[in-house]
Amino acid sequence: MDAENEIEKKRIRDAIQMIETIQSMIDVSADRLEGLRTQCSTSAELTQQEIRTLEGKLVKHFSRQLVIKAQFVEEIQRELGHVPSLRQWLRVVGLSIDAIEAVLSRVSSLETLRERTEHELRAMLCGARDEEVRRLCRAMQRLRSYTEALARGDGAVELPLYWDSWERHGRGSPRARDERNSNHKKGGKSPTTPINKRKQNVHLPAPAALTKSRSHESQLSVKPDTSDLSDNSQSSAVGTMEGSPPASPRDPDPDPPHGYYNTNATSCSPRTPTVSGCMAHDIAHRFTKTFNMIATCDYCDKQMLFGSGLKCKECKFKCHRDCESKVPPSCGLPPEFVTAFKEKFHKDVRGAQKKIPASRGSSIVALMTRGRACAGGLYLPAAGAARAALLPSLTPHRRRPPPAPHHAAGPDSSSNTSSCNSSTPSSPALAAPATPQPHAHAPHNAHHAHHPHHQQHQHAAKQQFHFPEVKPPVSSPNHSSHVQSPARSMADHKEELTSSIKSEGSGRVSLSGSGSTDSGRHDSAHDARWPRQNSLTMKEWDIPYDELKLFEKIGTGRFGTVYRGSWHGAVAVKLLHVNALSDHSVPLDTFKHEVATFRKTRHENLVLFMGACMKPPRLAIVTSLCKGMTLYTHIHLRKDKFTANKSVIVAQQISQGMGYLHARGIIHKDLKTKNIFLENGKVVITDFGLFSVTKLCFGNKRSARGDSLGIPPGWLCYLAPELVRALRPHASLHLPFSKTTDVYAFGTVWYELLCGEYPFKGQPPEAIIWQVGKGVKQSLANMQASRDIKDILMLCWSYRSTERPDFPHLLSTLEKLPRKRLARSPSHPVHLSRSADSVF
Amino acid sequence: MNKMSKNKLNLTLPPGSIDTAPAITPSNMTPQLKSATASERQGLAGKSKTSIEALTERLEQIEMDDTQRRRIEVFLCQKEKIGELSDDDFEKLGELGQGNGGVVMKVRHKSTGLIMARKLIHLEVKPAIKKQIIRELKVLHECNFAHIVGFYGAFYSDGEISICMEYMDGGSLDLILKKAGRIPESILGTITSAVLKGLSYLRDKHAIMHRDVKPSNILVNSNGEIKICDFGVSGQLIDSMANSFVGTRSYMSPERLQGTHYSVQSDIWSLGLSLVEMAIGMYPIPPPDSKTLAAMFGGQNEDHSPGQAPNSPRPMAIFELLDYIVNEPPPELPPGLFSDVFKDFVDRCLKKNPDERADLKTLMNHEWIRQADAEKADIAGWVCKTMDLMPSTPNSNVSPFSS
Repeated sequence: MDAENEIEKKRIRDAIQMIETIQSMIDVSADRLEGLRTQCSTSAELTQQEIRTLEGKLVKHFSRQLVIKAQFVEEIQRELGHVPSLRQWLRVVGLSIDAIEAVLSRVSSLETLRERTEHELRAMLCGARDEEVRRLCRAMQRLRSYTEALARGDGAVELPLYWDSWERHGRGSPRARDERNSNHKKGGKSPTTPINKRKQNVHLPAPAALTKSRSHESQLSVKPDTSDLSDNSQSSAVGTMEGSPPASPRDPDPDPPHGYYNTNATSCSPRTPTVSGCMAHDIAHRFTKTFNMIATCDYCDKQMLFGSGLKCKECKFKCHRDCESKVPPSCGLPPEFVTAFKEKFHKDVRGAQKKIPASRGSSIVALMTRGRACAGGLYLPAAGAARAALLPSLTPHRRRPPPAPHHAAGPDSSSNTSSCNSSTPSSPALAAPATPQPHAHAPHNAHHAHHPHHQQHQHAAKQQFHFPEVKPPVSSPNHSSHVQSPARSMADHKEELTSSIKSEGSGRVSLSGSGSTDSGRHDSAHDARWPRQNSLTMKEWDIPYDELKLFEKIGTGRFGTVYRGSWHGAVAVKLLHVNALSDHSVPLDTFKHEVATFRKTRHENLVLFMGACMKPPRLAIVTSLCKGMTLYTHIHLRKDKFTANKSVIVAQQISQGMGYLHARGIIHKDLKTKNIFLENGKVVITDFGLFSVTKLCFGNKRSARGDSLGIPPGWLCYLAPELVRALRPHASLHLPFSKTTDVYAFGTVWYELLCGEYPFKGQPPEAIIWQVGKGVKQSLANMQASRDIKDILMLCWSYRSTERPDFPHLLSTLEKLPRKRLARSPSHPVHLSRSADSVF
Repeated sequence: MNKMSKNKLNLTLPPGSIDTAPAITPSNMTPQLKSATASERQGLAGKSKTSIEALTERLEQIEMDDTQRRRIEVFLCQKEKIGELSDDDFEKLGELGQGNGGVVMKVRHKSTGLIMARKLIHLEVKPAIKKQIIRELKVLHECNFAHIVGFYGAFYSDGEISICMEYMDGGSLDLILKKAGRIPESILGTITSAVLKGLSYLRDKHAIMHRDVKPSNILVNSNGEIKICDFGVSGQLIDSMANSFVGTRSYMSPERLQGTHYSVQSDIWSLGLSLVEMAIGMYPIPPPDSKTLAAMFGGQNEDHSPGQAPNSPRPMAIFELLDYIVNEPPPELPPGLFSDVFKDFVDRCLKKNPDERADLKTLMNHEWIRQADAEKADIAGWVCKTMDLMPSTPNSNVSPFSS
């Protein structure tokens, strides 16, 4: 008996120890997860994968704790009462503090929570965002399934255990991307399957994989209705498919085309009780952090500080991070439609107001969208119809077969149709733009070949004005805010055609397949399905490390070592110092972000970006190999003298390359003679846009130095006053680089070319910082150069950034410089501190 | 060994020290320093120097008391045993700290057992440049003075310049300050006296200015010795340093920040600023408000209250800090906490106009310094107490040698 007792005690001890061990692992993982969600750009594929891995781990840990705990009698359970921590679990799930409190106020332990049905969970979180409800439901489902598996002794079972708890800016997009990526990797059913395959699936019923909770559901679900209830079980089960299509057995080809054009398709807006409302739409923006932007918030019209903004990748809508939640989900609507929409909205609202049941009144559910594809105008009805058709499947808790056929306009919309039409003719957008059509159309048809081309065309043409009616049945007067839509150009819109594809995910690839753009971004039609997106970038530009051959080291940069290498020819390989990057995804994410910008560049005076190795710890950038030497080598090491003529030619080429870079929206951030090569008289600029990587890689070294800022030699001279003033001795250094700071740096290059040395030569960094920050410039008194040449310097070094010329301007000034004559210094001393108002 | 090649900084060496140049070879040096005056006389005879210079030389030597002179002799004797240094000669014992531009390691010289401080500065330069640097650093061989950190040698290996110096077991004053919180006025007086002597030795004997006076460049040991290090001997080295670090503190004088001509007076400013920092226990720019001061000096007596304000980070941009130095009134000692002479001394150092600033000579004759010299504060005891050292350790360099 005693022995038995002993054994029992030991068992308990072991269990407690086990639980504690697991707890510590949970703590670690939870912290990391939190960090990934909050500190990393969750739009990055890699971050997402990491989040998922962690989510999976955490589910396992929590499940184990639950299972271990369950083996014991209550007495011991009480001893372990706090484990697993419900609060921690909820945080791990990704709920807001309010939501956590709401849950905690009703449920005391994870075990209890686990027993709750999805509907109960929903009710518990009735005030929370829809996304949170989704997360909780899915996470709970994951937990349940794994706990069950564990209880069965089947802990090794392969289950999808993640629930994608990152914050989505554009609903749908991350998942869509992930699906595609995971599909790629696992070779599963892939949305990238050829188009014709998709066609075959076109008539499949609304696939569960399209399940998608949408923020507007929060409004819908405020008052759970019967359909919610009855769908709960289903949604929890099917919900597992989200984000894990390959793993899910129930995952049909998630193509959306069914019902796209097939307006008689079974699917239809579930929201039958429609009121004559106004049209609205609901295309989530795909916000990404912007780094270099100094702009005005499109939402609140206030100035956005550097780095505080978000920008929609699709429609270029910009706003503060804080404003993000308030911004109407109206990506993808061209301004003209917004106008039309507004008109109609106001009109309808007036009429509708009275009819709307109060409970519904709070939500305007714009069903219209998904169809960013509606870009050209022509497709609007199509997209709208498709959207409406898809809708049921998009909303997890209302996945029942749509009750009524849907013909472009909802059953309730007939009245709207006319009103809309009548209200809009003046809108220019409604006259479908001619050019994009043929382009955009062909692929569209290809994807939806079940409709004869001409018919579709006609159909579309006829219905184009119906676009607004596809709107959701429910509307509310107080949602006028949703009407606000980003103003953007049609050109942007065209791009959205393509972007919608990926953003809307696999399910909608075909839907918006219309989007081969004429923007020149994509070389081939198949590219159109992979446009403008990180994952695209990754795919296209990812160079397997193994394929690279590295030869000798040709240089050491601040953040990496450059090797001569070979990859289908001679290349330069910049290997990033990986150990410095070991701090995970922040630098990695930045790295990818920047790599994404390089591929846009193609200019005679810019190094050719060929690709990158993106698999940590192998991070490398592969570019064409620059022959020749850097200007730095010429000027500072070899002490080569540049004649005025040669200097001008070099400066012109730099201006050209930089002008191009700026036109592409890329800020170099690190223009210096060390980054400019001279190949037989041709200038090649390298290393653009890498500064933040530099900085991040530098972070470690710097942090070892504690509170001081490492300043590489020569660097300060290139920094514009506004940058110098922003220097701080902390790792969080964030410098407001801009196009004008590049121009300032160009000024310094220009000075080096002319004088053969750095400005402020021999002065300690502090002295340079103070002087530059104060507007003191290097004296040009001893410089042998013409007034014109000095004036260029003065302008580039203008204290006020607005007074610095842009590169096209510089170029024309340089071209006007007299070539032949020997440049002579003016007889009077030209001191840089004088005002430079003369030349331009 | 011609003097021009050494003198990259365009510094004029006083004639007296030119004679000592051949003394770089240890065999030559030891006898010379054993009888400093004698060798000076030889120099005088050989070069027919003016008697004033010879006199100052001698006076300088007299500046050192017997103990100090004996210690230097011992040091030079030890050094004599060491030939050319190389990477293989050393055994790492630990890291002493991060200096400007490099890490400082505590090492043991294997063959002699000498403990040294080895400063490693990462440099990727052409051979010509590194030779030049090593050559410039050889000036350090001639800097033998009670208040200058002894120099064993410099060499280049594997991308790094190594400078091997005398190991000071008490560490630098910034480390001590961190531990002690504040440094008592009496101790500061003695320290200041030593620093002034060191600075004037550098100026008078080698015509170099320090350029980087700050607490971390003043070292102490458990013998009570106070020595300065890291002075700008090699212009090329400064130019070649891969990175310079700019931190939350700057000891640079306003005139230097403004890019105008500067001189030894600039070192005086740095000394003054360092003194205020060490006296109140925090970097004094921007000056602490009365509240902070009250908190720091709440109970006047608790001198050793580490972890107070000294390390609190300031959210100031580097430029802001520097602009404060240039444009705001200079820092000063808070009233009522220190003696008037100390306060006056600091005020004279911290004049923004270098011409109004007191010069080395004036300061050495300042009342506060004279008091300090007369009082003879127990630096050894203070160092040992603060840094938890056994008073015997300073001879660690000797003990392995003699044992």
